[in-house]
Amino acid sequence: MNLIDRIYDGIHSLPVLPTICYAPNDIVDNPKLTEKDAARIISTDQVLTAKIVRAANAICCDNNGQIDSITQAIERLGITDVKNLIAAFSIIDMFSKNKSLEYFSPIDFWSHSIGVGLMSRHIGKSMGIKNVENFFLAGILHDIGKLLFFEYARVEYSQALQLAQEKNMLIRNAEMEVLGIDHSFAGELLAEYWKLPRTFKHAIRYHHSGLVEDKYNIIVASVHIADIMTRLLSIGFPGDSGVPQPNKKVWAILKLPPAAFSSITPKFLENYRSTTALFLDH
Amino acid sequence: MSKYVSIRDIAVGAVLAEPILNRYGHLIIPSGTKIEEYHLAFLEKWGITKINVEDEAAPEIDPALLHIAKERVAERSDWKPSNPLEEDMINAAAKYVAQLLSPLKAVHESY
Repeated sequence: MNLIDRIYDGIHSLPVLPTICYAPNDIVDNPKLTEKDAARIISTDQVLTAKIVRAANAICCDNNGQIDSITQAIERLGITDVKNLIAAFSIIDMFSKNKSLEYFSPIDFWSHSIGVGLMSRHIGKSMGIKNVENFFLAGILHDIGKLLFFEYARVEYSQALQLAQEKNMLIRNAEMEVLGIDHSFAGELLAEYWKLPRTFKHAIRYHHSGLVEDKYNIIVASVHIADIMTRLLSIGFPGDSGVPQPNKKVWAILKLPPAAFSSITPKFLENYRSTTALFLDH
Repeated sequence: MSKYVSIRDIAVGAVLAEPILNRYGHLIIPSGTKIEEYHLAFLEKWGITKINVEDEAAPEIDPALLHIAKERVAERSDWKPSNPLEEDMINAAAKYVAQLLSPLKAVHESY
C-alpha cells in the first residue's frame, strides 16, 4: 500500500471526534447550548470538571484572580474554549500511546504544540482582541499531521527526521523529500475526517505561510508567528531545530503593539509551565 | 506590577501591593507589608483567599550573557530581523536563553 493510502486508512481508523470526547456529545455539538446547561452537564463529570478548572487557571493566568468553578471557567474562557479544551484533552489522550521515534517523542511534540497554542492566544490578546477563543486549540492542532506520520509511516518518518537533523533542514522540507507530502497536507486530511471548523483546518493547512490562499485570517496569522516564536524559545521540539523567517505579509495583519513579544514572553512562560504539567502528566 | 495570588501560593516575604481591609473597611494589614507565616494563618481565618502582591523584581541580566544568548538564538535562524517586531522576537527569546545560561555561568565562576 502506498504511503498516502496508509495515512488515509489510518485516519479512517481513528475515532470520530465527538464520540471520543469525555463529555456527552451535546456539549461539543449543540450550538444552542446555554452556558448554564453546559456547566450543569460538565459538572456531572467530576474528573473532567477538575481538569477544566485547572486548565482554565493555567491558561488564563492573569490578574483577575483564581477560577474555582466550572461556571467561572466558562465565564472567563467562553463556552467555545471550554468545549475546545474538552477536544484538546481528548485528542492528546487519543495519541498518548504513540511510541517515541529515535529523533522525536510525543512529549516533545505536544510541548511544542501547547507552546504554540498559548503563544497564539497571547498574540491575540496583545492585539486587543477581547474574544480570543479558538486561538489556543488552533495552535494545539497546527502540527497534528506529524502525529499521523508518527503513527502510520514510522520508517519513513524516522528517515525524514534524520535527514532534517543531518542536513539542518526544516522538517517540512525533509517530509517532502522522503514522504512526498508534508504534515500540513496530512493534517488537513484528518481535519476533514473530523469535520473540524474551518479555522482549525486552515491553521493546520496554512500555518507555514500564515495566509489562507493569500487571504488574511487573524488566527492562522497568529499561529504562524507563534510557531516561530516558540521555536526561538526552544519550547518543545517540532522535529527540527530551525527557525523560519516570519512571512512579511503576515505582519500587515497582526496589529501588535511595539515590543509585544518582550511583554508576552514572561507571562507565556508562566502559562506554559502550568499548562504542560496539566496536559502531559499521566 | 502586582498580581492577585491565592494565599495558598504566597511565599513568605512577598510584599503586599494593596492594603487588606475587613468587610467594614477597617485596615487589617497595610500595603507594603512583608508577608509572614502568621499573616497567612490570619488571612485564612478571615476567609481571605487572594491577596495582591508585588511581582518579584526581575534580576538584571548580565549584558555579556545577553550578547552570547542573542548569538545563540541568531545561529538557529538564517534570517536577519526586517522590522522592529522581528527584532523584539529575537530579543525576548535571547532574554529567556540568557536566564537559562546564568546558573551555568555562576557555577563556572565558582571554580
